Amino acid sequence: MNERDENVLLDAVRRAPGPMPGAAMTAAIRARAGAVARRRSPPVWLNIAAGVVVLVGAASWLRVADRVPEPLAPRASTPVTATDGALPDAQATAPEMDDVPAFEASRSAAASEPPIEQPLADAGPGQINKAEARSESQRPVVAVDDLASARRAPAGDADSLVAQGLRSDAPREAAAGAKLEAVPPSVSSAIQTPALETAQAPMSVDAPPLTESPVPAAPPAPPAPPVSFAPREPVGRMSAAPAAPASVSPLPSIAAEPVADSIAPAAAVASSVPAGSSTIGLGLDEAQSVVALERMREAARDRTKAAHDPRFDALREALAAEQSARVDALIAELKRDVLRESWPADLADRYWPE
Amino acid sequence: MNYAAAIQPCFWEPTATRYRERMTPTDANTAPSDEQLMLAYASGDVRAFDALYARFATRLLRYLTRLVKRPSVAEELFQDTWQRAIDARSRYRPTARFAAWLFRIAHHLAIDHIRREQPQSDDSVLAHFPDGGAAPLQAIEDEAQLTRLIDALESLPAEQRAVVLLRAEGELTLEEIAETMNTGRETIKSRLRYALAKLKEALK
Repeated sequence: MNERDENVLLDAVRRAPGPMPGAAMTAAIRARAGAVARRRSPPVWLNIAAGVVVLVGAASWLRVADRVPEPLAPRASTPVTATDGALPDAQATAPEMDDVPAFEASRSAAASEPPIEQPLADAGPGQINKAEARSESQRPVVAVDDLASARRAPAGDADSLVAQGLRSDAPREAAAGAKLEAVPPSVSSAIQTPALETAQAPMSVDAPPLTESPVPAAPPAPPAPPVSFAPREPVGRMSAAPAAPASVSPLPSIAAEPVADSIAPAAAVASSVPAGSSTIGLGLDEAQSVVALERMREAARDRTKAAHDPRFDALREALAAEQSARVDALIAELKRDVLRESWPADLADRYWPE
Repeated sequence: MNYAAAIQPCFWEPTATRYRERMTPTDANTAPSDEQLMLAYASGDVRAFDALYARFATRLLRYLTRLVKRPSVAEELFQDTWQRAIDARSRYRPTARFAAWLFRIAHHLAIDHIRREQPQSDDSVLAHFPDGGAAPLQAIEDEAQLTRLIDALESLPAEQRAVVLLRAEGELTLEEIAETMNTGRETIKSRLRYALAKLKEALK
């Protein structure tokens, strides 16, 4: 078969009558093609890029989450101030806030009283023991932690307890004529308003000689300055405040055990107190020891945080990359900001030899 | 209409080659090629698909109708073929002619149907090679002759019939037919020669 015949036959096949696509079928096919064309699918590379972005983002988030330090526990050493929790409410609702003038008078009277130590020195051993026992039972010194928990208690509870203590105990203590031992500044400031009720008794809510924050004369009390446990005067300087223990007598019900706990760590401190010192001084020391203990804990937390300083990781990376300039800068910065004790052992031995 | 000018560039063009092909300026009198139209449709231009459909719809349906010899089945295969072409628009690469690509899809669908209907292949029946006569064929104008021709075509074995139809309706080359049918060029050549000889003999 030659090519000419082939072409003739093929051409005849093409010209032969045959079926034609129907209009309905054509319309259906065109509609389908149009619908698909309008619904464009994203290209494959775009999907891959989106997946990579998601993976990188997740990895970055995990890395950041690992580096974020855990939130520190609420500090228990925060002193109680007039602006804290329930106590301002106690101030606001306590009905004993009317005796401002009397309170002022009592303050002045208390200021002129002889040091606390003097009455105990004058008293016999029995009285000293009584005073010690009373101070133990009515110790207003509560662990700072417990003060914090007391602050967290409903305002009404604190208010009622303090108010009850003031009203019930003040007369008895006043009658006994015992001199109160020093009230820790934190407690004194916390109960500053309820103390007004017993202004008729020579009270000294003056533990405040130890602090910068005198008991406010009238509510609402101004915010007290930071509490300082460092005694500014001889330990025995605190004047007896019959109402003070009364004002805090209810607190022992709250803080009986914590008080014991606070006493325990303070025992080491108390043991260093020379023999013959007053118990009132022991209370102050205990308070100081509690605060010191909290500061030690805080310092330990700081050291832990410092050990995980990301700059140490950056220093290691710079060392691996042999970036001497950056290494020197990081070392200088870390030496300035972080104590040697907080440095990792490997880096401390290498760059901060003792 | 200069269809190429209406093709909108697509920012996600994966290869610069395809972009250049689509953006190659064409003469106003020159119609865009089948490959250009398919690429344009892949980019979302529905009018390009309409142009392709207008060019190949009749030829494709006639091919399928004469190959499967059943109009209803041919229409189903016709729709399936276009649906597959639509679905594969994003994977189309102008490495082969669009006609070869489209008819390859149609052929595979038709052959699968034929094998389901007639499992036995009759392609090996080449015992009697028709002579066809030495006289050259005259142009076939008579409708009756055309009808006889079509009847003879439909009487051919499926494989031979497919070769003739791919050559006639699809206008494929022997190499393209061989690739479509997954056989060698010489086999296709012999099949075509045998089939045309029988058709010529039937027109006598």
